Amino acid sequence: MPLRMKTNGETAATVNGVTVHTCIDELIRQYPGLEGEILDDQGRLLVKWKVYINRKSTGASDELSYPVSDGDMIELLPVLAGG
Amino acid sequence: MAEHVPGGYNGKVLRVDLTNGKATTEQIDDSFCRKYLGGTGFIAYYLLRELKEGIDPLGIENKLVFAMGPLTGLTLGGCARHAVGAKSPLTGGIAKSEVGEYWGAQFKRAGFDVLIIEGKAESPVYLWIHDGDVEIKDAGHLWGKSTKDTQGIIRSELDDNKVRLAMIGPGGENLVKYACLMHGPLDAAGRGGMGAVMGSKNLKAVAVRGEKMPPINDSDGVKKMVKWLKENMDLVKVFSDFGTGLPMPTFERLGNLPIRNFRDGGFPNVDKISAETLKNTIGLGMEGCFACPVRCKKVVECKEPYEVDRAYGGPEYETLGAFGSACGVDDLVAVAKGSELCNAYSLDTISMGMSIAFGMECFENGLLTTKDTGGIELNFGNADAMLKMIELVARREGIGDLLAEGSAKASEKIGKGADKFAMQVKKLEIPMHEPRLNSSLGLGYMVNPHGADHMDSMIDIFFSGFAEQPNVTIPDAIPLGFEPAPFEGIDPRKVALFKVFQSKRLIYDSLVVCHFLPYSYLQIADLTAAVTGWQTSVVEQLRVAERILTMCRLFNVREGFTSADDTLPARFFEPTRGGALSEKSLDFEEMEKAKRYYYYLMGWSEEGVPLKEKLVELGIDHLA
Repeated sequence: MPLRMKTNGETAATVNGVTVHTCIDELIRQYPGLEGEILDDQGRLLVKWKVYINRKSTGASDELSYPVSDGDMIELLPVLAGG
Repeated sequence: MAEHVPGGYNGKVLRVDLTNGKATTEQIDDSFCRKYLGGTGFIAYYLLRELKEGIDPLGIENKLVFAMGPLTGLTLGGCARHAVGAKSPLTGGIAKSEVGEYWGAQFKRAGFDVLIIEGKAESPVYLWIHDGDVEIKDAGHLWGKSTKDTQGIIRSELDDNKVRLAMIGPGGENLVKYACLMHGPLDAAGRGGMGAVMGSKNLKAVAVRGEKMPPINDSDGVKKMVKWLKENMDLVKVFSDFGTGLPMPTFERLGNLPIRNFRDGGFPNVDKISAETLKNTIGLGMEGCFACPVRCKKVVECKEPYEVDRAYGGPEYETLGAFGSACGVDDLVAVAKGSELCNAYSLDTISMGMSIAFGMECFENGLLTTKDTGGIELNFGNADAMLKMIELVARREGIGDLLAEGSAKASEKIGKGADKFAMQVKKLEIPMHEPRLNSSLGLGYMVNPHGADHMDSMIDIFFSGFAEQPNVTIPDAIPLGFEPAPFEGIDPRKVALFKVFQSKRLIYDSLVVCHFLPYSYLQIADLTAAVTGWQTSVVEQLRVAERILTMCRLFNVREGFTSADDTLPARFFEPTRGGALSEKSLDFEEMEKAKRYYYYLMGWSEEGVPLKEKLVELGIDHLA
């Protein structure tokens, strides 16, 4: 389900946080409909998402713990698979 | 009075008889184009109408059909594609395969919609099709050459570096049953042995060049799609960065990744052969097809322990799996080398990898020995052995001659119960997605007319958030009234979802559009209307898909295929050895029930034979 269907069509939000995880938590507080769409019930990133920071993949094995700085752009991109 | 030709079509079929060296053109009109659409639809029409029952696929009577669609050649992402089809030398049924690159865009600009190759040349030739003309040129000096060398020589002869080539390497020349048809050294019309059909006709290559696209009805409608795609590139960004294969570690964890010929579960070194590792180690960047901003094709280069030429691109997911985990190999450079060899020799990487995996399991069980393999220790995990097999198959030398027949035929020749190691449906080797995890995919493998095909099937985990949601949901089928279905099992809701998904893929394969672009059913219908000028809809397109699938089914029924051929190898009704699926398998009776329900939805009998009433309804009873 595209996330924008749970955010009244909004495709971007401004949040505060120091890691990807805290930023996502803040996003879900703003849009409660995203509950269960990004993190599982144990707070892990659902495997269908890939985290990009400032248009680049993090390369980190633990993407949620990746630190972010003021002005960073975090994108959650669908992990496509292909043939 | 000229027949009306809809937008996006030239209205012309080019027929080349290699036996007598003559080329003719025929017209196709609006009603024909609307009924069969293009791509797979045109292939099904010509093969069903013009091939007699029982012909030898490598004989003079087979026909090789290159079919564009109304969207082929548009300057819009995903519209660089065309389809190639014939009677398959591997399966004996109908085969079709889609491919991107630039060839289709150039062929459309050369003034035609379809190329039908008939007969057989007395000695090797290539075709040169340009701006409405066709020449048959000597290719004796090209026979035996790799695809890269073939392209270089022909471009030099024609003094034009922008000529695009559909061509075969030694694999096609030596009639390897799963030889593919390369377009450039990077892009393959992979499945079903189209390269062998071309080789059987002594046809080395088809070179194309053209300047003028046929007019389209509403260019603003196309511009609207270009704009939409530009604004939604985030939906395909991971393709642009990694190509296919990013979720391989997740696939391994869930059990989707085939391991050692689909026998085992658990491949702890999967990270060593994933697309992410490729990007961070041997990857040089990405390339793309004509006018497509996605650019999902990997470029790699390596020197050691195997030298890999960047001209042949890098391994897609299917190749990473087929030469990687399916063969028990965790050496990424070896996998990249395998991909290069297959592209140079024109061999389908899925069938090649799975035929080697079959050979490895036979070797492990003593059904093949070093006496058969010429001293090669054909064990799972032996990367050198894997690469040697590719060389031997391309040349049909030693054990390569056996494996060149495909795993099903090879198992018949070996006997001694080897058939239980041949992972194939209708003799087409199974791709790199596990049906025990994905029951709808299992159904697709069973019933797709050209054999086990993942691209025309619904892979359940992709539509359940990688199995993290309890249901399978196809978001853009919701406006069409289709209900989500439980991920577990295969109830009628899932069969219905599979059918509508398969239909969408058939529409894509007929228009011809890349499956990787995230266009919805509604968008595709609107785009078709904009290009052609038809007042069309999703409803019509789903009907066309039904017609095309039924035509493919008719072809196979005529060739002797029955419901018994719509089945999976016995292995999938048992769990894997270890791993995520160590307690999970498909249920034979449940899959048979699902298959019969699919037949019912398609308007076919309990034995999978299209009912006469259905043929009349679809307007194709005259083809039966």
